[in-house]
Amino acid sequence: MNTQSALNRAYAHWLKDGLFEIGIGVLLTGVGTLRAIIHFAGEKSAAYYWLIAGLLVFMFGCAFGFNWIGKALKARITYPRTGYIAFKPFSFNYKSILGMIVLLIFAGILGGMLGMLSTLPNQQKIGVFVPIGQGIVGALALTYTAQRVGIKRLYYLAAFSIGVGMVIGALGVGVVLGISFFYLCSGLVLMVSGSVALMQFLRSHEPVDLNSVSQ
Amino acid sequence: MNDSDTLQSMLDVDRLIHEPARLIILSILYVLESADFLYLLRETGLGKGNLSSHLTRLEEAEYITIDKTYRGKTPVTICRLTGAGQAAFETYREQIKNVVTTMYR
Repeated sequence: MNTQSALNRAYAHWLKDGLFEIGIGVLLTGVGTLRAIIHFAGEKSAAYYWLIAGLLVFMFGCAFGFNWIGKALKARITYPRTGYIAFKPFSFNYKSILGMIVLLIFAGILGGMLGMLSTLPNQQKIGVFVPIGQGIVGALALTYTAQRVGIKRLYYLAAFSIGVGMVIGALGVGVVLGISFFYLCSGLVLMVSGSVALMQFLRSHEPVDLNSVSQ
Repeated sequence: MNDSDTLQSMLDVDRLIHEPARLIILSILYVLESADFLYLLRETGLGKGNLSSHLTRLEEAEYITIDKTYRGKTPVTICRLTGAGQAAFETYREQIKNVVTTMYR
C-alpha cells in the first residue's frame, strides 16, 4: 500500500456514508431556491434586501452548522461502524498555496464572466450555455473525485450534472434563473443520492462492539 | 554512494517498519492526523490481537502514540504517528526507493 492509496481510501471512507453529499445537497438546494426567489421578487421588492441577507445567513449557517452537525452525525453513525479518522490540518506549503491561487483565479474569471453575462441584453440565448458550462464543470469535479476514491455513484452524478445542465440550458430561462435551477436540481439529486448511500451504509455495516474490539 | 553501498544499506533498513503489517499501519497513520483501532482493523485486515500487538510494538518504539478515551460510554483507542515515527517512515521510504532504483538500473 502506498501513501497516496492510503489517503484515497481514507477519502472514500469519509464519503461512503453519504452524509457529505446530503450536506452539500442541502446547501445547493437552499442557495438555488433562495436565489430563484430573489430573482422573482425583483430588485424593487421590499423583501429584496432581506432575501439577500437571508441567503448570506443561510450560506454562513451551513458553513458553520455542517461542521458541528456533521461531526455529531459521524460520531453517531459512521465511527461506531467503520471507525474514526481525522485528516491532517491544511498546511500552507508551496503546492497548496499554488493550488489556492489557481482556484482563486479560476473562480474570479468564472464569477466575472457570469456577472458580465447577466448584464448583457439577450439573456435567453446566453442562458443556454451557462447551465451547460456549470454541468460540465460539476461533472469534471465529480469524475475526478470518483476516479480518485473509487466510488461508483459519483460517476452517475457526473453524468446527471451534464444532463441537468443541458436540460436547463435548453429551457432557456436566462443566466440567473439557469444557475438557480441548476443548483436546486443538483442539490435535490445530491440529497437523494446521499440518502440512498446512507441507507445502504447502515444496512451493510452493523455497529461494532468497541468493548470487544479495543485493545 | 555507489551501487554496492546502496544495496548494503538494505541491511540497515528499520526492521520494525519493514514488517508488512506495521508498514501498512504506518502508511495509514502517515497520511492521517489520527485513526482509531476499528478503522485500522478494517483497513489492515488483521485480527484484533495481531493488530494490538503490532500497535504495542510501534508504541514501544515511540513511533506512534495510543490514547485510550471514551466517546460517550464507548471506549475508543486513537492512534497517532509521532515525529520520530514520521522521520523513521520517511527514512525507510527513501532507503527502499534507493535500493529499488539500484536494482532496476
